[in-house]
Amino acid sequence: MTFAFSYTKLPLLVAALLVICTTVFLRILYTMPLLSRGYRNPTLKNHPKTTASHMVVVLGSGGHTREMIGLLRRIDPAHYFQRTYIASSGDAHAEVKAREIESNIRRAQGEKDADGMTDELDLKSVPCQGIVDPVNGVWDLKIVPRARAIQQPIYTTPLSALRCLRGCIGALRAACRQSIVAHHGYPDVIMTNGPATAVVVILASYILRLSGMAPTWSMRVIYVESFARVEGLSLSGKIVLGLGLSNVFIVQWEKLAVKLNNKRKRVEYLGILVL
Amino acid sequence: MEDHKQESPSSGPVVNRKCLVTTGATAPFPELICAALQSGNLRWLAENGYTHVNFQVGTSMQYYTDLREQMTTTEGLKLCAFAFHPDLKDDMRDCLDGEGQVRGCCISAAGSGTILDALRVDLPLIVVPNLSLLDNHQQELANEMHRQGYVTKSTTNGLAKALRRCHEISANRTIEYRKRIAEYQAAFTKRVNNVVGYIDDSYDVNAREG
Repeated sequence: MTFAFSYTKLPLLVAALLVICTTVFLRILYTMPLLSRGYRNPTLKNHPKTTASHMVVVLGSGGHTREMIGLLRRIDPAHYFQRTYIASSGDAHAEVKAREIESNIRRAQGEKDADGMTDELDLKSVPCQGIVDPVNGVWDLKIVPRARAIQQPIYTTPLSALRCLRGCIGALRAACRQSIVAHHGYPDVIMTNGPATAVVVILASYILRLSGMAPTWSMRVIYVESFARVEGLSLSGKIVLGLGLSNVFIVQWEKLAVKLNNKRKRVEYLGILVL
Repeated sequence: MEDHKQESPSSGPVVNRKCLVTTGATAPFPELICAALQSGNLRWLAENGYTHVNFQVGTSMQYYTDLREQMTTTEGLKLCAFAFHPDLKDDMRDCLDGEGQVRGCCISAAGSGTILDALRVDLPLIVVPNLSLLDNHQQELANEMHRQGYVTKSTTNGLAKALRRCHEISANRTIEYRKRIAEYQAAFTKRVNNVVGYIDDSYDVNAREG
């Protein structure tokens, strides 16, 4: 009887597999934003963050950019001192968009008390990428390969999506290397409102945390669904919420929030944020 | 009411008032152009001090010119049209109050981009959802925005009523929703700070009070 489980390769393989599966499973449990909501950097638990942060902003189409301007208008550049924009290679106007958002952050800061909400663009006043302004911080733009070209056949899409994923991991690692707020520290927060690239960037950040290359508390994901979505989520939103990849998922309509939260709290509603 | 007060000193120099009609960039919306060009609506605009109506017609330029040729009178309004401008906000700003000009309004398809632009520029907005679009978020968005008092929703037939309604309430509306939006954005900024780990004093105070 005792020799029934003798040294054949099979039990060993099964055991190894079990160990690996358990490890991966526990690791996923540990790193999943969905399950670790409210999880903080343990070293900061009772000590609020006092240093500046690094924010990643994913750029999308013109509509996404327009909403992102509204979202980031009130962000304090003294807190979010370094801002890295990620855009896909198909976007010819990425730099203009990034500058547009930057100029709005800067102006909103300049006229914090003035009620003037003029939208005149002053793109020239925005310094170049990588130039550190002691008040408004520093910004840069990273380009990743696009996940799917227009009219690309469906069977080659996984391949290009993987290339995009690799590009995103590379971009985040580069952002880490170039961090000026923390020596070789990964970005603190990823702000996105749902272009396709955002899903891949979020996935890349998750892979970095899962594999242990980045600390679990880095790159917290804030996903704000587009304000055009009144009754249902966009595809990106469905993926991000479905996989639980975001730390905070915000919708801009109360009705939608109620609909999505009918069983348990999954999304937050704070009002219309993009105006 | 506010509008009538602003109108009264117009007896001296000519006071301009401009209305922008925009069909949006993505889909053609000839019904809106047709509705805006109806004599009843133009007459209402003229009676309420409007001097100019600008049309952003997109791909429907031919349709606009055809309609324009059939018209017998413009009710004394100056009408002009263009296909696209890269930044519609400039055209919207052109309708705001300024030197020798009273704040006008914008009539638009209910695209989210146009709504954002108009609200940011503080131009009173009437949205007319484009019913011919199949994947129709426009209708839902327009309903909600109307319900919360940001815009006035209309149909192509009910434009005259919507114009009246928009001008009756537009005076206080902007101030009211500006305040609301500032609160929303403050809440959002606090939430972001909270996620990253900054302690926002006011956030804590509120939490303790509540």
